[in-house]
Amino acid sequence: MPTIPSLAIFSGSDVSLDTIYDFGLFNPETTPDTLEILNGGLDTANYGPGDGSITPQMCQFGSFAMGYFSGFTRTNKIFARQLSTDLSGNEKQKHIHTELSASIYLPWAPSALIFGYQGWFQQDATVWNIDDASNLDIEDWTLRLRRRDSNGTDGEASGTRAHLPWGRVSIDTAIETPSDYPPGVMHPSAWRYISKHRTITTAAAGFHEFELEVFSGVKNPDKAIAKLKTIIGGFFVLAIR
Amino acid sequence: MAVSKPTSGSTITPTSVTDMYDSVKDVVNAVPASSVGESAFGPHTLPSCVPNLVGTTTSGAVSSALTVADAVTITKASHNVMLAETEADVVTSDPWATIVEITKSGGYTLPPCKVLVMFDATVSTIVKDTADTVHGQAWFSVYYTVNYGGSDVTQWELRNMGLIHTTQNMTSSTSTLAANVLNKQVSVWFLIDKTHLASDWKIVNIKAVGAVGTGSQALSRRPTSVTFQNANLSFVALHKDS
Repeated sequence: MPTIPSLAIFSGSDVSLDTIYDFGLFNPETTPDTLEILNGGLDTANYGPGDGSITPQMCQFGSFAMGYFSGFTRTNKIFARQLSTDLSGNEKQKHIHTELSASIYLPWAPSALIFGYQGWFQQDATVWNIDDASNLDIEDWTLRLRRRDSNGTDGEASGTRAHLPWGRVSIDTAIETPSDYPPGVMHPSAWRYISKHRTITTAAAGFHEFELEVFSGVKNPDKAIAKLKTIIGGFFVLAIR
Repeated sequence: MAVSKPTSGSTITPTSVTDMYDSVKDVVNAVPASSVGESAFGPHTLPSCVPNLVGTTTSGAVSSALTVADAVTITKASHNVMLAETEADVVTSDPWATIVEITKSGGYTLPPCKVLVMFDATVSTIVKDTADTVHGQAWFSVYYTVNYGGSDVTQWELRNMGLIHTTQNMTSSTSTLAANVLNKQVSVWFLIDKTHLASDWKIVNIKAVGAVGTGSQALSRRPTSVTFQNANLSFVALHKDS
């Protein structure tokens, strides 16, 4: 414990409430060295050895940080046709990656809120019509991490977007059944690793929601069979007071 | 603990106030560490483990991001093989181009502490040389500059470098598809341990830089450019843990 000094509030024979308040209870301008030190004022001076110290077992879990992690090792599959009920169209719609999303409550405003996702992905995506370089039909998948909180934040977390490129090419057009699948910018059987994080220093206390949005650029009718597999993945949030 | 209460009708004086205070203070100060129970302290009692920047009320945590819109395209290279690049090649004499950086005029002044540095980025494209559509490489390195009260000191480590390879172009019966798009992910996370210092120190900047190379092929065949996007560079300072 800190060595708390005696209280110095003498200003004549009368009791001065202002003096008691400033010197005895709380003075936000200075590091408290009164009993107020027991209200959030313990500091690095208390880390040392001896009776003026605090040790780890004295601290409640979550005193300095709160964390959340959700990992999985069973393959998650999102089919391109889940993203649209209009199988005749090629419009992009999003799907929430339920394994890489989270909702947490923070009882205090953290100094730093670090969050992100990691995963091994395997995607069906093709470049069609490769014999006509001026008329290529390129497929891909996009991941976007969205953050919402109880203070009105709602939007994409900067710098956390990821694209999963095409893994095969075909001489056919997208309206035909593919007849050949030579590898593209990655082998279609390969796993693509993605790891993205974001650090927020202005996060407020309260609810925070994180959703990894999956967008498909797969064309019809490949849309009926193409899918994004997440082989292994995890989502993490670390809030540090 | 007992506090001497003033009796009814007595006058409260500064002395009686200090007597009450001191009676509590004496008890608190006399509590030995061995008598403090488990989980006695919580968030209401303990400070943040992220130190403030010295002389401020700003937490020692900073982040800088790179989105799709502000992608960085780099054409820099000194050698063909990355391991031939010296610290001077990367940092000073002919430095690699900046992907994203954290910097502040006068630096970030911190107490002795540990600093977690995190860098994630996507290499979205490597535009290969027309004479070599196979051997393009994107290189990246993360380093930082600190100040202990004298001149700035740049701390660069080989282990905080990395590279990715490009992909060979696709050839069909009638055309070639230039496989410039990669969208490969790179990450470098490391810890700066300055808990041994006796006084405050500064992080002048933290930089993620990049360049292009060819590996086994001649430098003349290096890629035209590499583009980084969707990046985050962050640091969080943490008080010593022992």
